[in-house]
Amino acid sequence: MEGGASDVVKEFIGLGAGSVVFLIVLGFLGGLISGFIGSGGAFVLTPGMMSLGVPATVAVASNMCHKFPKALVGAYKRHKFGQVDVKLGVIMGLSATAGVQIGIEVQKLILNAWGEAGSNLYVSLAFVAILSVIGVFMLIDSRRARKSESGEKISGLARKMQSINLPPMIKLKNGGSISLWITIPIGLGTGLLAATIAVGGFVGVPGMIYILGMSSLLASGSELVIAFIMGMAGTVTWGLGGFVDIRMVLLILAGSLFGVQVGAIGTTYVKDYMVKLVMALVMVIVCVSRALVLPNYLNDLGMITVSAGTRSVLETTSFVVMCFALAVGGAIILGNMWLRKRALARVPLEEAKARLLPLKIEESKDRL
Amino acid sequence: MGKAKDSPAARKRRARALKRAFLWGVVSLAIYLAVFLNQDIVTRYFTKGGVFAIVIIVTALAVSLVHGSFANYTIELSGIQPYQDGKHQEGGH
Repeated sequence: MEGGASDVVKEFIGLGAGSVVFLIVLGFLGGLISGFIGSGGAFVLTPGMMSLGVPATVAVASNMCHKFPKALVGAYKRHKFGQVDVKLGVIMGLSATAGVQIGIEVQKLILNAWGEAGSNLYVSLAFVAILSVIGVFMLIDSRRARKSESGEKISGLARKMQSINLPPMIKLKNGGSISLWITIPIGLGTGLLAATIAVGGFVGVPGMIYILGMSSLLASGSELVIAFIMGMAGTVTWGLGGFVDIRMVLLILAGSLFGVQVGAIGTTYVKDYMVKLVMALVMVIVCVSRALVLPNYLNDLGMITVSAGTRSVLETTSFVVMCFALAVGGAIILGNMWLRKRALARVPLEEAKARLLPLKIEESKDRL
Repeated sequence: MGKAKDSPAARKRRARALKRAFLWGVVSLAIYLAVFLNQDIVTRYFTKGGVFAIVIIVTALAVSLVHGSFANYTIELSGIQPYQDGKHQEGGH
């Protein structure tokens, strides 16, 4: 998906009113999710652009180009809320950039060995394998954290990792320290996944939570720094080849720069476990979406037979389910914000009542 | 909450946000119009590759500043504010 492909056609489609609105709305929802969970908004943009007739390489390149300015704005906003470990984000961003290059080489190897069908199958299998395991785990953990009175707890694995004293050590923003050598595999994995399925944060954020011992809010905020560095490096690579369609980038940014800031503000309305819950739900639904198209790729490799009609149904359903993942994430984020705002609007009345009570007691004493 | 909204400080903040949203909005609109009214030329140059990759980066960063600021003040005017320490934070940027 995100590999160098100088032999692929470069085509820049005409954009009608429908396409413009579609890209802006998609950008807003993707930005909303990214601002809230640190990543995850980009996965639907590449297939979204491709559904408009954009070639895969132009879609991937344009998606990458929109990602880094969106991540910059989101990281800035969340940094003001104290939810970003900039130092760790920069360090992991560098190893993630290396991971992207490794991922691109892996993609090229698979493309050369098994062609486009093999590459598509590899990408979809990666989606299903990684997202199903991590997504279900996070779903269970978020429910546990919600029920627990003490909320989020640092995992046993993270405690062990933090106890390893292998210099150089990096001080974490929420306390503790971690060896640089432990952050590197997580960064590499983030970049590898970004190069494979376009969303590195599905490994990066859980890695920071469960291996490094960061809180969900801090991990998701810091992921935006990693996304910024990866996105900028990737844009340079694609830009050198002339694959970025700046018009689509600007249309997506028109919506995503709103969405990412609203999503960032949304994190101040919720407890830590909600970030895990939204991320887990998005991952599980996207996993289902990608599993739906596995038969098509197996058919392309000649392993099974799928009729043209079935193929079309599976592809359309997969895309709809992917959009549903965005919609679910957006609904939870905006719904929680709306509920909290309503609760806040009631507070002054209750506070006023509470203040009136002592006055009434005093008046009663005077009358006695 | 009604009283806080009508306070002189709140009115001043809203007026400032409105002014800034308008100014950044005008610049953002100018950028978008410049690109889309000349999309053939823009697409031709931005996809030349090579050194034009820098132009892409600079454009994306410029839009993030301009349109991001417009979005920030518009969101503030809409009443969506961060919630911290048990209360809404006025001037959420």
